[in-house]
Amino acid sequence: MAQQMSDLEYLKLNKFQRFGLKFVAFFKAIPGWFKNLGIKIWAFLKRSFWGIVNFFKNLGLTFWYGDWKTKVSYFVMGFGSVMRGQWLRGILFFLFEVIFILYLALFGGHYLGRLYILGTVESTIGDDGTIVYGENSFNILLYGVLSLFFIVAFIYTWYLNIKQNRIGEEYEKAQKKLATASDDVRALVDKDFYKTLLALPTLGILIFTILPIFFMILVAFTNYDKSHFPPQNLFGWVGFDNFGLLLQWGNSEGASFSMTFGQILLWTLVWAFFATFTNYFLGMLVAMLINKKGIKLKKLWRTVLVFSIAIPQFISILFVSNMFAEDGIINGILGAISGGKLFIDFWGEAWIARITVIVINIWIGVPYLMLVVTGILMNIPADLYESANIDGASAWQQYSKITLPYMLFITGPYLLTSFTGNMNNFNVIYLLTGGGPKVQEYYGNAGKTDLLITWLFSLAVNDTNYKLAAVIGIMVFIVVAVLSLVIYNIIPSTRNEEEFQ
Amino acid sequence: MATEKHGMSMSKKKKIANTASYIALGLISIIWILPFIFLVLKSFDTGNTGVTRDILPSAWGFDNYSYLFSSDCNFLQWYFNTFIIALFVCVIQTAMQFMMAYTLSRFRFKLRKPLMNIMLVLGMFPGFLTMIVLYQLLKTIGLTGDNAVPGLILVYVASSGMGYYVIKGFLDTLPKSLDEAALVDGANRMQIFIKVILPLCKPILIYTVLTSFMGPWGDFVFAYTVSLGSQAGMNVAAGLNSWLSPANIGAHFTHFCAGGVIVAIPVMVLFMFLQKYYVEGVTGGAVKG
Amino acid sequence: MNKILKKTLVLLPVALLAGCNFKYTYNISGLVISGGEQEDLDDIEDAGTYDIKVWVDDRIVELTKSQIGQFVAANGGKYTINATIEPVGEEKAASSMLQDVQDGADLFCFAQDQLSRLKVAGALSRLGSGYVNAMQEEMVEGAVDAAKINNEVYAFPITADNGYFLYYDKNFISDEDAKDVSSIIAACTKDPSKPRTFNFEARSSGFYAASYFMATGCYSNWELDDESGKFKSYDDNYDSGNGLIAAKGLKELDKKGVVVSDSHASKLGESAAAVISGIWEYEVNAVKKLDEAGMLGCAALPSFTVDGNSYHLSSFDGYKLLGVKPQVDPKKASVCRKIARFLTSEDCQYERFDKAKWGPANKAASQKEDVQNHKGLKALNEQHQYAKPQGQCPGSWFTALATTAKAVTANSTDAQIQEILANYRAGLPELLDSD
Repeated sequence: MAQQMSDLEYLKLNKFQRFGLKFVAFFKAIPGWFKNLGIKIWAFLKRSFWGIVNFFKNLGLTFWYGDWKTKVSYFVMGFGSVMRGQWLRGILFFLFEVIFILYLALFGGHYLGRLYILGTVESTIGDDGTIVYGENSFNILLYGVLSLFFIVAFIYTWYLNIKQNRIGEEYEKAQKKLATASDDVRALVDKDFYKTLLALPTLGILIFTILPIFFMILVAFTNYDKSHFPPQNLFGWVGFDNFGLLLQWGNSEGASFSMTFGQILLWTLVWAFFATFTNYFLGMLVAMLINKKGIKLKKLWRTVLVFSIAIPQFISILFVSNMFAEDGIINGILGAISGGKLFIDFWGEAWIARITVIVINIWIGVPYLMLVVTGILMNIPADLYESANIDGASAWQQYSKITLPYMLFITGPYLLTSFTGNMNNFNVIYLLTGGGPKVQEYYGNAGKTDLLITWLFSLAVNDTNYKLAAVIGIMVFIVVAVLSLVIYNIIPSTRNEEEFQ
Repeated sequence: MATEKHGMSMSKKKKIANTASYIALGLISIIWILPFIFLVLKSFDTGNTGVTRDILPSAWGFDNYSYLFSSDCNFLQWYFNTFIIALFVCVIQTAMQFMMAYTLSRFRFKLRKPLMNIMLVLGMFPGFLTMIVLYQLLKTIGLTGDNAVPGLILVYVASSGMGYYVIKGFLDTLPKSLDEAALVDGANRMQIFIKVILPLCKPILIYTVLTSFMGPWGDFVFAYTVSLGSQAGMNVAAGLNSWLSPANIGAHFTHFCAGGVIVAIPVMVLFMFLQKYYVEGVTGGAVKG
Repeated sequence: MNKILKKTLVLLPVALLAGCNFKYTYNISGLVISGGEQEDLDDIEDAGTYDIKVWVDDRIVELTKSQIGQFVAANGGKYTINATIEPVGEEKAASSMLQDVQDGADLFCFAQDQLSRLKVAGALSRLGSGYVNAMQEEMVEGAVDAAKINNEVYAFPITADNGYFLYYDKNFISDEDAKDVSSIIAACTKDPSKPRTFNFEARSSGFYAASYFMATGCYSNWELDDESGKFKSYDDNYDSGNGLIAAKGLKELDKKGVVVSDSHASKLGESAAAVISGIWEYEVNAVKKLDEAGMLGCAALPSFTVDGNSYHLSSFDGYKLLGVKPQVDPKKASVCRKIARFLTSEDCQYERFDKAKWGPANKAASQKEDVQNHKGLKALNEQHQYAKPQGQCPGSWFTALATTAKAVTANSTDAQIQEILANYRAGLPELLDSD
């Protein structure tokens, strides 16, 4: 941008032109990115390569030149640490090694060994109602992956153990004192307090988020569906076959999957756009109404709206869904008003259902937005409005020249997260329509209001078609990640986090 | 204020504008409150336990509520389970989030940026996908079926560190000089965290406790999966939801409404008292993204 | 404010803990029934103690508990059974079994359309000829077929009442009116001051829409591949002259606001004058109230008329089945099958009718006088001669049919209907792939 025009020229543009400019600049920058990305990857590869070489070189050198304590530590972890007086570290190292070996020997090793094929022995059911369970592909994949995680953790710890020995030797040579157990403990509440704090949260994330996600990504490369359903049947690796289904258009088999995916993705984006912006602007409007000078009972109005946040969504949304049923309260009221002439089949027709979910989503989302906006509105410097008043600016002018730009600037990142949040807004769609109206032309019982996330859910739970659910999950991730990347580069208010402190 | 000086016409205009605003606000309030009134009305309907299109019940009474507390129904069990879950989750989750947020706000270490990026990326995966894996993990350690309550607590809190954003946003606004002064006084980092920082975090602490207490009340998908049919492990959302299946809705819709009212009341009362903190948290969270 | 808050926070859990003494109402693990002397009747020696988990609808949990007690008593104390009976209804049982076969129930009740899924997932095993022959003998015609896949029987029929029939309010609809769709619709709108609806889900549900097509002789048969559990071929003539007649009949239901596409019998006596639904709605209090007032009518489905010809609406014969999970322990497998056989025996099925109004699939039980006289079951019975067995078909076939029905009832001309049916047929191959 800077090469094309001066800052002064840029400032003269209105904000739409600026936005357009940024937009164009963003896409122009894409080839550059890829170039940079390539360079970065190359650098990374080079670094990794040398890192690995150095890793082994260090290991070898440490072993070669190390004393006997160090050498024993290669096999008995923590030995050197204990011998050098760091008994706490030593014992922990040793314990970890014991646990690791026990884990592999008694549990993980078996699964790890079958990971490449995911089992070969099927279950057999006899006519007398007995079953002989064979191998369970699901468990093999899950615990195989867990074992891999464990091995990586072990190698890292093992390396730390050796590093400790090297440091120990160096300290001994320099006749410096090593950290004792009590030093270690003290560090954990002071200098290294962050390690103490992070231990539990990161362990939780590792086991209950990263491991499952890793598992599901791998499932996308298997044929895990109702015909290959453990424990009765095995599933196995199929490479990129499932992703291939997404690329098949036309009359070939699987075409309807790619068509359905495309249509549902489109609706997901449309939905996310309207759900985000209707809530945003109407929430702002309500907040401004409540905060208007001279309006009394501000707290009451706010409380009435906040009321609806306090009630668990599954209750309020399920009830509202029944209100809008073909024979629900709303049609009862419409009928009473019009003398039986007016009737709307809210959930029966694709476009009516789509509009209805967006409208009901306003009801769900506006109170929340109202709260968000209220806080920000209060922060807009009052003198801006005062001077505008003196200049005789109308309410609309004040809004479009002061309030809106300020709001957009401050809430840019928030808008982005609520856009991606709406793309994955399971509750609203699932509870209101269950994805319906369902149509024949969609694959796997999908409906016209299904989002990718609800479709994924029904594929997994109703059709036990996990392989395709996993593919959709990965696609959702890609779409969200790309969108986030693009929008973050366009919006102005991605601020430096250090700025506040 | 400035406008009032411009004379009668201006103030008249203002009056009209205000009246219009009141009308709009009144309408909005009605729209937002009406479904809840319908819900409460339906919960007192003893004339018809199914779905109807009429707003007013044909007969009134407390039958639906007494059904919930009768031995025909496990509502109390569900409710109690959910309450226990919510209690544990709000304590542990708040602790986890504070630990994560404080670390990321106050320490600078090598893996800090990668850690934040990893959590950002993980947040982009649709969570439902991992449900069957989580079920299998819990099953391995025996926390499904009848033992679903501790299992659910474990899953809800395990990854809760990823929701550190709002608290970190708040902590970032506390000046670092506080920490530095305490360090000079000879306090260690743990003492600073507990004695200096935490007392200043009351609003955001209450916000976190409130939101994490509310979370478990609404989970009707995962909780159902983990309980695998066991009433001893069922939570209230999954239990109420099972009353809306086609075979049950005719006999249980009013029970669902009554149950919904009972679930909503404590959460709402809590909310009304703590609204101030909630508003602060929501606003802060949104601004800091 | 703060004080009140603190008090609430402290008192709330205390009050809750004190106020509730919890009973695991349904979970009767620990119910131990034993005693009496031993009888040796069986081919495999299976006396012993067993933990058995049972999933049934919450309406028959207590009943099932006592029936398992009867089973133990009838066997003279040969078995000690620790039964855990959990209220998991038919629609949830199948998906919960699929979620975890190993930890799922040993005995579970499910609707017949789930049969193939459960079989493929290893939640059911083939029954031997001993059981099959006995069941052929004892069960009503068609019940055993409902438990069949490719001529092998996989489960025990427990009810024969999962079909649908017509409920009507005699204040608005005469017995004569109830025989014909047009006259029902006409009766609903007769009194403008009291408009009533005819609730028939055929416009948005394939399960009900099929009534029209099967009435004119259309069929849609799907063949299951035994190994993969996928459907491999189909034989379908919905896009035919007969299909066109059915679709034309269906068009009559496009009177929105009068014909409501749902199946809530709870609206009977309030907004609805006639509802097509199943026996599961019979115990709903709106229906009961109408019955007490002597104004409840139950009948076979009505007829519809196209081009001067009348066709009696068909329906699916619905059965609920009791499944037995394959067991690792052959002794337990044998006991579970015996319990299943006992629970589906004449006495148990009759008791289930007596206490919960479930329609027996057992021939002798269904012949009993009070079963025969039950209004709802009688209507189902009358409908039976027009009903077709519900074979195994892809779940999305119902969606396809619902799509068709919805298009037909959206002001379509005859030419358009033909096109809609052609679209339906063109989409069928996709169903093989997608289910």
